[in-house]
Amino acid sequence: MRSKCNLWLAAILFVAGFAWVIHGTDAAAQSGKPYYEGKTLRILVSSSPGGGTDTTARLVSQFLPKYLPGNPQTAVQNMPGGGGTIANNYFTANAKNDGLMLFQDSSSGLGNFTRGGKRIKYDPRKYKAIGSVTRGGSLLMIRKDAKSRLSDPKAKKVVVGDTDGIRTWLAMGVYGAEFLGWNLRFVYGYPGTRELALALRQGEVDVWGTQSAKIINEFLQDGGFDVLCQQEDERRPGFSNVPTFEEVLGDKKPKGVAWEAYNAWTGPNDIDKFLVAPESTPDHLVTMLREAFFKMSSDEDFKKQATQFFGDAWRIRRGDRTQAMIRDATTVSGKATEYLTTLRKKYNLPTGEQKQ
Amino acid sequence: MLQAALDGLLGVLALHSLGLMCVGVLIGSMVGFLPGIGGPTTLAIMLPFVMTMNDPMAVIALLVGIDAVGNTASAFPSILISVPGSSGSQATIIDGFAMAKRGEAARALSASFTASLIGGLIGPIILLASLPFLRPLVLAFGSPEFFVLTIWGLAMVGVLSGNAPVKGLLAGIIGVLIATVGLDVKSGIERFAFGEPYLWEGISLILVALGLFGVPECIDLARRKSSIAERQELGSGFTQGIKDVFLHWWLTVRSSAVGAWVGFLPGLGSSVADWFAYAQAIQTEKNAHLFGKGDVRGVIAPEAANNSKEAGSYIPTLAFGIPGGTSTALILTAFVAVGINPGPEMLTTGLSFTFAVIWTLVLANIVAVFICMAFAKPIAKACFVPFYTIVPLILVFVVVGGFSAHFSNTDLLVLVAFSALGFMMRRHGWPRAPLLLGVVLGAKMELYLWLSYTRFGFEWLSRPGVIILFLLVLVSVLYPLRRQKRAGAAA
Amino acid sequence: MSDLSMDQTARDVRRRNFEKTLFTLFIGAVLLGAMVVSWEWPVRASIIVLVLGSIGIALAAVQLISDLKSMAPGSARSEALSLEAPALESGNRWANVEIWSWIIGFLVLIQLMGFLYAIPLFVFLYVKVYGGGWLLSVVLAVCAGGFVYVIFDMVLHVPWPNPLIPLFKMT
Repeated sequence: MRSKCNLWLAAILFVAGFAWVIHGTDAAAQSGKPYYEGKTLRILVSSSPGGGTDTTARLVSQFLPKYLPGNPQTAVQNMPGGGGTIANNYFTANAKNDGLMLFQDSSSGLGNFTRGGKRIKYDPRKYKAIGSVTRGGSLLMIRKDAKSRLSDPKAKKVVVGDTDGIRTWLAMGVYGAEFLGWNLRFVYGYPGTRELALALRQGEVDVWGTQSAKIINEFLQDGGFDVLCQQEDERRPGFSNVPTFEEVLGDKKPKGVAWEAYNAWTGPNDIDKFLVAPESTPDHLVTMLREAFFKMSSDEDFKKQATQFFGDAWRIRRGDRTQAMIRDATTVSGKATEYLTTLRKKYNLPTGEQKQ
Repeated sequence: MLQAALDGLLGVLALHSLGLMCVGVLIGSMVGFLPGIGGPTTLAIMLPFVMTMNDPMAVIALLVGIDAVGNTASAFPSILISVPGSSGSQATIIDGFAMAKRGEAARALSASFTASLIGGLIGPIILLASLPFLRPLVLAFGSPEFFVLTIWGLAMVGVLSGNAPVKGLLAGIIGVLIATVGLDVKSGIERFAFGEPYLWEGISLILVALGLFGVPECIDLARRKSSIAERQELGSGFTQGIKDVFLHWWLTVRSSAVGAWVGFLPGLGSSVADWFAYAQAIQTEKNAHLFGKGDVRGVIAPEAANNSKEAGSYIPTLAFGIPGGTSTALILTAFVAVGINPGPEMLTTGLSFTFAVIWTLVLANIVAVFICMAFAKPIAKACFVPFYTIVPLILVFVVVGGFSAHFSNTDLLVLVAFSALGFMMRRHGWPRAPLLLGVVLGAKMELYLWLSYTRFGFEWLSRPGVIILFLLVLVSVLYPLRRQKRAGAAA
Repeated sequence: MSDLSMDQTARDVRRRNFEKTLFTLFIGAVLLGAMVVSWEWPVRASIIVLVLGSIGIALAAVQLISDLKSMAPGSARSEALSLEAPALESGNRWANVEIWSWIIGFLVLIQLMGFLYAIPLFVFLYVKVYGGGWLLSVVLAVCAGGFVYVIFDMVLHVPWPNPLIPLFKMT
């Protein structure tokens, strides 16, 4: 009987001791240390692995902790789908204000928001922007064997492929069809960059746009592909022989609400890949993150890797500037929104109301 | 080419690269052993560390080492406790666990590792042989062809279901419907999520697998109040398992080839290679009625395939810089960071890196198999320990693994729901494997159907590749049915 | 087999067949429910549900007919003669309740105390209650708890949820 009591006592003491060790270790460790020490910073990404948004997130996850006090661990979580809708909605509903979850999105998320619709349950204007990486304007690639059909309305339609039918570069295709008479048909639903790259090689799609200089150069090296035009106001270094879309439009460039709508669609392109914290994040954490992001951009290793991934034309924008650009890109007049909706319906692209 | 092969080999055999490869193998093996932590999670954790390395050969050795061997060690939980350690070892559960219940766990494990070794050697050989025509190979499969392949996978459901084809097809359909839960990528519509943000991401495959297989078998163990092995003798053992692989050498080679060829299909192959291999084994082997009841061939086929598929998944990666799956997408990111440019260069100026990948796949498999073989016998004895030592550990394994899906308490609720479903299915004789396969294939099936229709209209039905594949589907479904009928008539 | 035990087994077989039929009905109801919910969606989102749902309902009807046939009055007794069915013994129902209680209890413990406390406690209790010795119970509890702590907490930094009892909260 006595030995049974002793054994019970031993068991209770053991469990209590185990609890004390864990609890005590943590408590001691927590006092007076930098905010991010021993913590994990999660970065939610609105795309599948391997594309530009994912690559940016992984670069950030590698270098940002170096400049945050406490040097946290990082974990990248992919949540593709709906052109960023899924991840944006999830981030808005679930992210806490403890600075431990950031969101890497791309211009598509802004485009979706501007387009509107009942699936949109987020507001990017409310996010606290930490900074952005822009890779230069999009370039529109076309298979050489499809080029002759582009201006021939009697020929088989040239197929433009996209993920969600929302991408900013798609505006070049739609406005090309509307104002230049390009013989185009739009197909969307491809999961991501790598599937579209394969589809372009296979001839399943004939036209595709991307900002990644690396991908474009690979295609150009392969032969069999051309670059039709680029989205920037000025020609990108490395693509100085490719006309801008405005140059291609020439005197057919639309005016008034049509052009306002074009700018509304493509505006987010300048922001490209941006990193944000939730709306309720305290100012001191936002400042800490913004400073770290900016310092990160001067890191030599970061610069080297960014150039390897994105080509020479990439650049960083600071958090406050990114915040202002997000506001500007998502402020669109009702008329321009209506114009875009009509235009998109004409070319069988998804609009805010998903009744097609 | 010979010089590139030698450079690649020397690069991998350099002391620090070899050391990193062994580290990668250990990490990959441990990850494969633990359900819930998959290869992509591990690679994502390693990525920041790897991207600071300067030696491309060392990066290849570490990352390819991790990626190549996860499926080898994942046979442990699949065979011993009916919990898939990775997506590549799901099919192994069917016969592997049945063998463990008969006291033949050691035989199943040694057969699995030997088959993995051979698969891991044949896969790179097929990759090597494919080098000259990698690009046309990848370009041959468009959305319509992928769609028919997913149909093929589901059509095999009827084959796998043995004598309950109606239940099997129903289970497969339910699996596909489960895969539709969440926000639809192409329309942004919330499907079966009922406004719940947790469900926007869809239902995690880990939770389905753990719930359908892990918990019901654990419940059965607890109810029986005995050990995993229903017979308390060792039965045929370790050496027999190794002999089995050589006795069925043609099955092993065939399954490895199936794995490598299916593995190269970008986005699709890595999750179904083991099922395709298992199904082709049932369709072509004699006495197919023994499959599902603890036939060692049901372990050899998927295990050979799930190692050879790793080499196959590098085909689109090397040819075009298009990753075969999530793991290779992450590896690709690291490659670019250290100056390896996946794509056309890998077959010209970067050929030595290509060979380094091939050599690492071979060597990592050999090392992993030896490690697993060393642990097989002692771990197999777990099948004879009393249930009260093993049941709580399995439940801990399963619950923590399930929680790792999204790190949410809701994961545990979903796990309970699927456990209840798996329990009821088992109780009433509904095959569970087709449901799991339906979840795996559902999203891809819908996607490729949509892309085929929206891009080609109904013209996609007349593509030569589609017609050939449809014929193959018909043959692979009708032939075993005809064989079954003949066998029934003869009996 | 005596007449009495054959009758008992036949009753068990009938009950089992009834449960089987209910389960088939449940599957059919799920399919029907999925089709009803998806009716309002755009075609590109609903097509796969409608097509597969229709096929599924037809198959469920076929399966239901087969299940109902096995419930017919003569069949249970004849099934009882030919079936080895230890799982049909009513004693097993309590075994099911027992293990499900442990599983749900474990999950409740996790909610109350958090993973890192609940795991060793659960392992210890289960092993001890079903016949393990003190040493074995403690060793397995320590191993399970330690393994999860080292791998999932220290290495993987899994974000554990806060337990309901504040005393067990990890800071």
